[in-house]
Amino acid sequence: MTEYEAVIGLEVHGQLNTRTKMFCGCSTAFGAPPNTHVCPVCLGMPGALPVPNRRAIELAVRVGRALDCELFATSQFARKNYFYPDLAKGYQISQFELPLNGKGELTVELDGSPLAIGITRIHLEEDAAKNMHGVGGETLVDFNRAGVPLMEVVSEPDLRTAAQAEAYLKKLREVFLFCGANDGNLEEGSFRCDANVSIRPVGQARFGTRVELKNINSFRFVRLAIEFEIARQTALIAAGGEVVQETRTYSDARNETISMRGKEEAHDYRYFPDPDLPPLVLPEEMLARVTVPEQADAIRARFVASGLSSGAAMVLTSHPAFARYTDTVIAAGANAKTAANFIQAEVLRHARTDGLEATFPVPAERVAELLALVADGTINGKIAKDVFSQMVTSRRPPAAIIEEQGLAQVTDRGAIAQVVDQVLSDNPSQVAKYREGKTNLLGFFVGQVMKATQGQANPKVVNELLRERL
Amino acid sequence: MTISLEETQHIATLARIALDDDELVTMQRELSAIIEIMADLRELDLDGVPATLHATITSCGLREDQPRASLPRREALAGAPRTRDFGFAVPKVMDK
Amino acid sequence: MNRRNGLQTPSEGTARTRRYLDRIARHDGELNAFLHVDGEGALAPAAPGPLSGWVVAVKDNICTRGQKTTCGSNMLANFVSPYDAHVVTRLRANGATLIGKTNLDEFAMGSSGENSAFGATRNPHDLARVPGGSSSGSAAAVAAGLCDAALGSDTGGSVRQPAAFCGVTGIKPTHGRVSRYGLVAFASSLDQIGTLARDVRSAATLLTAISGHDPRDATSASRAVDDFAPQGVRGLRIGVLKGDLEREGNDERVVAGIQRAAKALEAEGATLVDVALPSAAHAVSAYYLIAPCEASSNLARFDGIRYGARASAADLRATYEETRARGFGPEVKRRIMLGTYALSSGYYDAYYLRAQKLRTLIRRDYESAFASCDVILGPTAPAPAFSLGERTDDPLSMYLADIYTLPASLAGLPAISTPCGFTEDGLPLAAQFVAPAFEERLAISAAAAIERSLGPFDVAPRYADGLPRSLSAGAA
Repeated sequence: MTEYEAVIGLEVHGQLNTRTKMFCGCSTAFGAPPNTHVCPVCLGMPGALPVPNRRAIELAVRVGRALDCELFATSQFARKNYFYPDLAKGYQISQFELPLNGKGELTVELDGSPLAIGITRIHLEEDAAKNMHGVGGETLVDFNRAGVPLMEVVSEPDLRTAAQAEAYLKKLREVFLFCGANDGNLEEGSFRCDANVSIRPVGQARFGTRVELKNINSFRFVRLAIEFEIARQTALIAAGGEVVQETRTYSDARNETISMRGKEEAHDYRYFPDPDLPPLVLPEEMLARVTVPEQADAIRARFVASGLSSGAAMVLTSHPAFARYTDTVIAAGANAKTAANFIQAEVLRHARTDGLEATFPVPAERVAELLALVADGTINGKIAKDVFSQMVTSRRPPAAIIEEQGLAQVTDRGAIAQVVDQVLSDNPSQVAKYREGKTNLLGFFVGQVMKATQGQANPKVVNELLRERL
Repeated sequence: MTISLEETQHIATLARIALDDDELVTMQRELSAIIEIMADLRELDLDGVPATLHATITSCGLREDQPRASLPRREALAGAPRTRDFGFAVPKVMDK
Repeated sequence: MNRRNGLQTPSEGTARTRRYLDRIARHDGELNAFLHVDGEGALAPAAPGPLSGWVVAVKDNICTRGQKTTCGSNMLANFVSPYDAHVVTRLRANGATLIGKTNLDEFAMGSSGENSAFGATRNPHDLARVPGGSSSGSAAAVAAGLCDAALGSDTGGSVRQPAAFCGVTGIKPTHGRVSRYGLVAFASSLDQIGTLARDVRSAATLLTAISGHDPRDATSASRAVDDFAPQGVRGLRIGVLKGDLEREGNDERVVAGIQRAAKALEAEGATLVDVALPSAAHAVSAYYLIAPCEASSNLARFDGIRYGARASAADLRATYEETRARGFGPEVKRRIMLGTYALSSGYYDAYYLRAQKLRTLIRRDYESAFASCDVILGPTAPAPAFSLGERTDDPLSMYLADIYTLPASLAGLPAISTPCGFTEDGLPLAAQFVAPAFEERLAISAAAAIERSLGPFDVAPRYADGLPRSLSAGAA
């Protein structure tokens, strides 16, 4: 029986993290009322002209560098011509023959071993408007999204399984996030994936007929859609059939791919260099300035080297803001491991991420102050958690809360000795048992002392005094 | 070199211009005549000659990522033949 | 004599504007140079500035906020732009009075003014003849003294050729010199806004006012704007396009005019050298590929969805096709079709790419020519204004009217057309000067020299009565 293998190539569209659109000064903010973020340029009004957003270019250069892409100092915007109501000008401005970035590579880890996936190119383009279905069978067009800057990352057909495709996408999303270039939001469509899937007998060099899978909005669905498609095509060919070149989409309700409406006509996009946009020559100053921020893998390695478990390192690099927060706490003097534990256990419970931004209940510097107060013995770990809860609600510095509520540990040996003596005299039978050898009763005595001091006695001193007296 | 009627119709479809039968024939004739006089260009030896997209401006102007005021929605929609619920209304389209 | 630009008092300005409005009311019925006259706006006080008192008309493919901008097309018959073009902002800021919008070949596609959906414009020197195009209304309005000066747009000669036909001066600056923001695009890599006036200095003054970098146009040059005022030509080397003069099909009166202009320049101290542009022979082919290709894409936005006229039809596809079938006139459709064809799969390399390569050869020709001269002199058009209707059925003969203006357009170079005499029956003849990129002043200076020597060339005789005097410093 013939063995088949799948050949998968992915095209990812990532919205570039800019304040304004690719070619005009309209806001890119998501969720505004229809047609409020529009101007003559993005509405394709007569006479309006596009001017590229420098920031969008910088971010795409950054991603290109993170993926080791060949960077083209001169690239060219091109027009992709077709008519559709979501396309204001009757063409989309994209890049065709001369993209910003050429060949590169992304290495993913799968089942513990590295797998290098080739990147074909990364180019810049503008997003289309949104078609909404109106009542009475009309379509209503909202141009708020029209012109939002996108980078399209095209992979080589190096992927062979759905799991590889999923791993590639997750890794690419991580690169986008750690470059600060894209918020990786699949639901809002700022990270979108199309997959080209074909099947061929193992050993055959020529590619099979490919099917394009479009509009898949979660990693899981990408995996399921590709798995389904591989099975569908394999069954079809094994049964002597032929794969039709077409575009399909994934229905999660039915867990299958569905053919999208057949093409009315063969597309002929008539690409040509956009005459409104001369060659994009990257300024020297930009090339010198744009660097790749530290990527997740490097941060994880650094965290592990400073004593964190690989699990903790993973959690604390699941979002670039978490990593920055952790670094800030450690930089302010906290022990790395203590900081990592505290952030994971306490801080992240209250943290909220919103795209590339994250909000934390308490600034990193304050957490560092709190951990310093534990380290110098002013409070103990248990009190620290209470103080942190109060910091979350009151937004006050830890020292002030401790001061105000008298939460500082009692380290005065005389004062603690008095309580210890009192506890021992109140519990003569336990004292006797301890002295008979039941030394695990020490914890009981410590508990009693802590209870009598509302937890503020320095546990180290308590232990010392108890041992002296018993 | 001439353009066939079928080709003329295909071009009209790409350009989204309805042509009736007479217009199609006229257009085919005129386009063919124009293409004919451009034969000189096909015969030139242009190997190794770079293309000029812009004769005088060699690098694209850029803008900073600074927001500028959008159009008031009223003005954005003012010229549209048909609007509804603040959207530009068109006959129903299928999803791409 | 007023030696400075502008006027002494605002009331002088209003009176002047009224006189032009009266002239338009009296004469434009027969000329059809204006599509809209903004009497109210024109009489409102203008900002003080170097163009104070200047009454300027604007071609109707340049956007003016709150006013119609039709491009001479049924597609935009009721279109009102929500913004001002950069040049309009500049005119207002310089104190100019904007009197109205001028007629044109639809979307600036044409060489006779006959392709307007709102009727042809007539030539003020002979009402039976075309004014040239596509800036037909601007040239006619200036020639008939319906305004002091006008803005036009020049893609392949659309300022220079009508200026030549109407006996006025027209300047097409270097591509990138004037912002195209707000100029409805025909062929973006060729389109430039230019100026028309009855004397060289006025056209130059108006050009100074609208030139300069605009961040809203990615093709706008970030160069300082020179003072375009003409200077002497002593020592200037004038390259004469001998080949163009000897070309078969030239009207001999045009050739005689150029020879007269060359002599005048020599008399002013310039030297003459022979130059040639061998690749320019293919300019018509290159131009009529590049411009339609760009136009086919630039005009795709006219789909009747966001603005403009829409034809109602059963479904989306038919809505597009009917809207564009009814909205565009025959020449526009022809060029969209031609461009769509030339860009379509399989033809790109054979047509568009080859045309762009030819552009390189023409640029190189100019570079060689400018090694031995400072400015190139040649005819603007092969013949004086032709009769209305003479070429409407023959698109190819119409295209050939642009033969001498196209090379400078393809090379992006500044060029000026200025009168150099008249035929016996009173039709204007013109000379064209082309200068190296951003050297507008050289072409302007040469044009001013022949104006000094052979001019003045004033308003068309039929409209001489009651013309307000020129405000341009040093003008006749």
